[in-house]
Amino acid sequence: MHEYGVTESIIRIVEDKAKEAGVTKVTSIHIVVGALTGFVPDCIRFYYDTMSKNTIAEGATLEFEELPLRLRCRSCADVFEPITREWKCPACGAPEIDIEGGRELYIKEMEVS
Amino acid sequence: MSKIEIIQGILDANEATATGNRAVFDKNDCLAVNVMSAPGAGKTSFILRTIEALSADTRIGVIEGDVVSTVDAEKVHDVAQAVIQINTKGMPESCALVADMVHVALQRMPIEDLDLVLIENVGNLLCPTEFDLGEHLKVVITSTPEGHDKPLKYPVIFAQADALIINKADLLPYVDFDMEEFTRTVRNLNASVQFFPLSCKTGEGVAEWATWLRDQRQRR
Ligand SMILES: Nc1nc2c(ncn2[C@@H]2O[C@H](COP(=O)(O)OP(=O)(O)OP(=O)(O)O)[C@@H](O)[C@H]2O)c(=O)[nH]1
Ligand SMILES: [Mg+2]
Ligand SMILES: [Zn+2]
Repeated sequence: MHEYGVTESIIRIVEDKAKEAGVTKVTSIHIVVGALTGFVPDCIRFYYDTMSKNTIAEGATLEFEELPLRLRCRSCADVFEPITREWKCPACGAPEIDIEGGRELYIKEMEVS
Repeated sequence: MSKIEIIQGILDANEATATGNRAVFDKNDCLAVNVMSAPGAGKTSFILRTIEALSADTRIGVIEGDVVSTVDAEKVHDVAQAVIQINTKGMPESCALVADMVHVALQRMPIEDLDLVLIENVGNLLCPTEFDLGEHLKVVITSTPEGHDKPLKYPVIFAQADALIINKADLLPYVDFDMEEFTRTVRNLNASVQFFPLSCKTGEGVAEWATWLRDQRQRR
């Protein structure tokens, strides 16, 4: 849904970094997406095809690495990946948790030539 | 062929703009509140009730993020000190407000004459969680007909909320909304959230919310 803006931002970052490094062609971009962000990789790819035209990163492959949802128990500080929709600490059984991981959204690296 | 490490947040630019917005609010001693909910939960009604409850001693501005129409802005126009409509129409990312839209709105607002700015986000429980606007408080509204299992489906927005409005309390006798179950589920995700069951229709419960908000303002 808001993938348009996200794609725009990906291209801007990659262009800046490529310029900084003095490279002429970006061939692939490695993007890390947490399971909770709700970004749809295929949707980003769809926008990317048109929006990257005539840029240094035109036609680059987008590789997505999904990071899992991780929760931290507020009682015993155990960090776990929930299996069911009921978020209970597997170590002590407490239901009070904080979201520890799964909201990531960043560009990790790019391949250039 | 070689690799270049980047490690840069894709939403960093939005964060930076949001930080700038927050500085503008702070400098003008103005409390900014981001109001979020699913479509139709009662954001506009809630903003109108909040203005009614506080306008005697608080100068209030509203930023309306209605996707395509000016309906909500028109409703608020007569009662608020200033209303800015953000038209997200034509912008593909219209599923949430982003910091830049608020930045633009602030340039058209008499911010130095305001004590409180209420921002009506786009009706959506998923996308607004990604975009900090520069607000001080996040207020999430759930209305009783939506059911009490919303927090399990959209955990992030409930985990982020500073205040949770349970609107349409007047409908409780007619809908299957388990208040205890709902508050417990949210508490499990968010230790510090404040709950305010209220009805924008009858006005019941609005005073408690208004007192809390006034208190938040005075604390800053
Ligand atoms: N019964 C009842 N109806 C309410 C209450 N609050 C709002 N409504 C009704 O719910 C409908 C939607 O209210 P709005 O305030 O427009 O909701 P909104 O979240 O701003 O809607 P969008 O901006 O379209 O997402 C309207 O018909 C309101 O009259 C309430 O407390 N009780
Ligand atoms: Mg509205
Ligand atoms: Zn535990």
